[in-house]
Formats: sequence, C-alpha cells, structure tokens
Amino acid sequence: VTDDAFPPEDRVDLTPLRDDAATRASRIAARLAPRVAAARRTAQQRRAVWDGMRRRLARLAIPTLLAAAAALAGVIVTTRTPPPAPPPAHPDPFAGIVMGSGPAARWIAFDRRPDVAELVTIAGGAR
Amino acid sequence: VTRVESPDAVLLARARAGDDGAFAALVSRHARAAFLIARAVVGDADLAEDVCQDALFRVWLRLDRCREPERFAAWLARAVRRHALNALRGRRRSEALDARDLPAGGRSPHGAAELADLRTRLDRALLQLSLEQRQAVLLYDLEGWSHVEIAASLGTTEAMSRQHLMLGRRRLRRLLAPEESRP
Repeated sequence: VTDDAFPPEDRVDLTPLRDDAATRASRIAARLAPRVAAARRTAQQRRAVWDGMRRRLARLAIPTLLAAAAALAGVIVTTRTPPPAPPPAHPDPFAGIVMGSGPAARWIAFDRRPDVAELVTIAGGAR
Repeated sequence: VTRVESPDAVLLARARAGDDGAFAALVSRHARAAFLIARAVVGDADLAEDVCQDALFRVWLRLDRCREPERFAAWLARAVRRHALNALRGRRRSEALDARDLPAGGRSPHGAAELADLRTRLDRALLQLSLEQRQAVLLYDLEGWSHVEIAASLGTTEAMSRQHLMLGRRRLRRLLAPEESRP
C-alpha cells in the first residue's frame, strides 16, 4: 500500500496536545513508580511468609506423619473388635417327651442337651 | 515495534527479573504514547491519565505475558487500549465522549490562556473523530509512529491505518477551521 492510495492530508498542528501529553506522561511515570515499589514489597512479604510456612511444614512433615501413623495404629489396635466368642456348648434348656408305654406320657425337662445314653436309660425306665 | 536504538527487549528481560528501574525506563519511554492511546479511547485527558496509570500497573503485573519482547511497544499499546476500553465501559463515562461537556473556552489575550483555549478546541475536535482516527492521528502526528506500528496497536492493517489518519486529519482540519470558512 502506498501513500497514493490515501493521498496525504496535511497534518494539523497538535503542539498544545504534545506538551500536555508530555506533562501528563511524566506525572504518570512519577506516580507509577511508588505504586510498583509498594506492590513489590507486598509481594515479597507474602512470598517470605509463604516460604517460611513451607519450610516449617517441610520440617514438621516427617515427625507429624510418623506421629499420625502411630496414632492411627493405636486407634486401630484399641478399637479392634474381639473375635466372636465360641457358642456355648448347649445352654438352651432342652425339653423332650418320652413316650412311655404306660398310661401317661412323661415330661422330662433338662437344662442341657441330654446325653443319648441318658435318654435311652430314661426311656427304658419309663417302660 | 522494533527500535534498533531502544533495547525494549533487554529492559523487559531485566524488568521481568525484578529490576524496577528497568520497568521505569520502559515506562518513561512509552508513557506518552500510552497516555495518548488512553486519551484517544476515553476522550477525557484527566480520566485518561488515571486509566493509563492503571493500565501500566497491570502491564507490570503481567510482564510475563509479553510473548514477543522485541514488539513490546505494540503489546503495551494493545494492553492500554484494551484497558481503556474496559474502563470506559465499566465506568459508563459516556459523558466523557460528549464534546458538549467540555468548557467552551473563550479567547484570551494571555498566552497561557490562549494555549488552554487551543487545547480545548483540539480536544473538542478530536472527540468528533472515530476512536481509530483519533488514535492514528495522535500516534502518527504526536509520537511519530509508523503505520505498521499503529496497525499493530489497533489490530488492523497498515492500509486501514493510513485511511484512518487521512480521514482523521481531514475531519480535524474541517472542525478546526473558522466558522466562516466551513463548507
């Protein structure tokens, strides 16, 4: 694209704006510098705090981890449920009917499971 | 924007490494162009000063985002323009673009007052241009930027930059011409 495409138009004298712009630009630069310095200070302070925290955390990490593991192990050991107790031999009362050959049936009650031989004996006696 | 005599890329590298002096040097080099861009967008010089300062501060916070250090000026210009547009939308300062709000400014025999009057007239006339025309006129005629540089800052082509400048100058001249000589 050449200047022929857009014939040159004489420039307008913008000198008053040039001076004003220069003044304002100097003011902008002067005001910006302390703002940047303050922001950098704040950022450095934040970084220092963060670095300190990180160092402290790193120092505490292994002991804390070990302590936590030990505590966890302790909790597991103490709260571990005991194995279920074996069922009692035969605590239930046992009732049986021995049908005798006599006129009436006879109730026999045990507070335990009777031995087979015992039952045979009782049955024989009932007869 | 490549400037052989201006090692922007070197200063940028130092600024990124934490050298505030290097950033201050970059600012002093580009603050005027940045201000003119902000002024072209928001229209009002006082508001443009605040916007420009904020934009430059944000630029400092985001120095790492400049991918082409050798084209720092164009990147800065785009950042300032974008920030100014956002500020304008955010603050809804449409009145800043209303030339009627500017003081009328009567002629004065004193030099300073005359200068202020001339500046006011220029301000009022510039506000009648489109944003792109304003930016092209201010950067080309006040900062000596090339059309390549202006096009990069506007995100447009070199041909469009030439057109904006030509139309902007023409309109500006008509607006500043004495009443009786206007068509």
